[in-house]
Amino acid sequence: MDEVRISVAGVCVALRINDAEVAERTRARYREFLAPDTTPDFVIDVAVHGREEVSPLMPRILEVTTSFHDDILTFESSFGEGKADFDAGYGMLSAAHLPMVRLLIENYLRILYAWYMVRIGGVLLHSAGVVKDKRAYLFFGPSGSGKSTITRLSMEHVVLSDDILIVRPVNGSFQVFGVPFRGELVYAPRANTRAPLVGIFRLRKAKEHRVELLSPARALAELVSCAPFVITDAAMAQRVMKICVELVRQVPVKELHFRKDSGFWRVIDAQS
Amino acid sequence: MLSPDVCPAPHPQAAGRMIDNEAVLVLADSGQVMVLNETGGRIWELADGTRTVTDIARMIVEEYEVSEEQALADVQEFVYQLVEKQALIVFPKEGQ
Repeated sequence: MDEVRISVAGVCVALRINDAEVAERTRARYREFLAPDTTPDFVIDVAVHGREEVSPLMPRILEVTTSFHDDILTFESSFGEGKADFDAGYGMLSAAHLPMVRLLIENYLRILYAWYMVRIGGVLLHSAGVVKDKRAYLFFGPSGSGKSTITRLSMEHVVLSDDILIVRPVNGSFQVFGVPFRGELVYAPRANTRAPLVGIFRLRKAKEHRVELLSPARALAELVSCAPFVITDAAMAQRVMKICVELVRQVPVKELHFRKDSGFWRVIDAQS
Repeated sequence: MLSPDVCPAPHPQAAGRMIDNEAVLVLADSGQVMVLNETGGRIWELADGTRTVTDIARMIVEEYEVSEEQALADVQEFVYQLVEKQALIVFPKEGQ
């Protein structure tokens, strides 16, 4: 059994993998987030069965279903299944085919972190994040709204992600944390850092750069819509809304209309 | 038309939260999120399973400048729409 410990947004997961090669690849994949000396919040046994039954080149859709009852998260996909007991801090992941293990572990971790964050007062959001002058800006919206474009146009700053971020309160104010999970820009940096959240922007592609303040209800609805996985459970959706209400109260949410050049930063800076 | 004597209550798959007099609803089964305006949010707040549609309409009359007849028609229609979206359920008032 080979152990890989990663820490994301202050939550450490120890993956105990029964395959040395998979463990090594996992270690390389999450190298910026390795935390070998951190006490894990979760221990996950990863069992890899079978090796070459599925060609890695064969296009496949990794469909995932999750459910959450009595603090137990259940994860099922066509290539494996898993569970995580939030009270015990223990879980398992059974991967059926070696070539799909990377995707399976990544999806399992996304889902685990999404649900666990809500439990501890944070939220995982479909959003891009950029740290500029030590302050974090979060850009969100559905697929196609421009998260990857904003990221591409912000490479001179610290890019946290073009796809998914974690926001959670630290000492009463919200911080944005980078995550290792990948979006459209496979080779974009995923900084393992955090910064105080100072701006939240719902993206709209436009012909000119401008910002508009969203009403608190609209802001809440837009943010909650970008919380993947967890709002499919009514009780969890209620908790996500509670967290997002605090977020909206602390950091006003604006709509950023932008075109494809970095001039949107001037508009944002003018708001600060 | 929805009976004015039924009591509306949140559907088990719906989560709602008031913010600045408006309501945000999440329908967990579909992942749909919607915003209700001030009067819609107020009706959502009042639809807690203890009041009939008529009771809610009376409270709306007290709080907003609207006739009793209009309020009842609007509340009936609004509750019906939320029932259709599975944001609310309705049941007969206890004892009826």
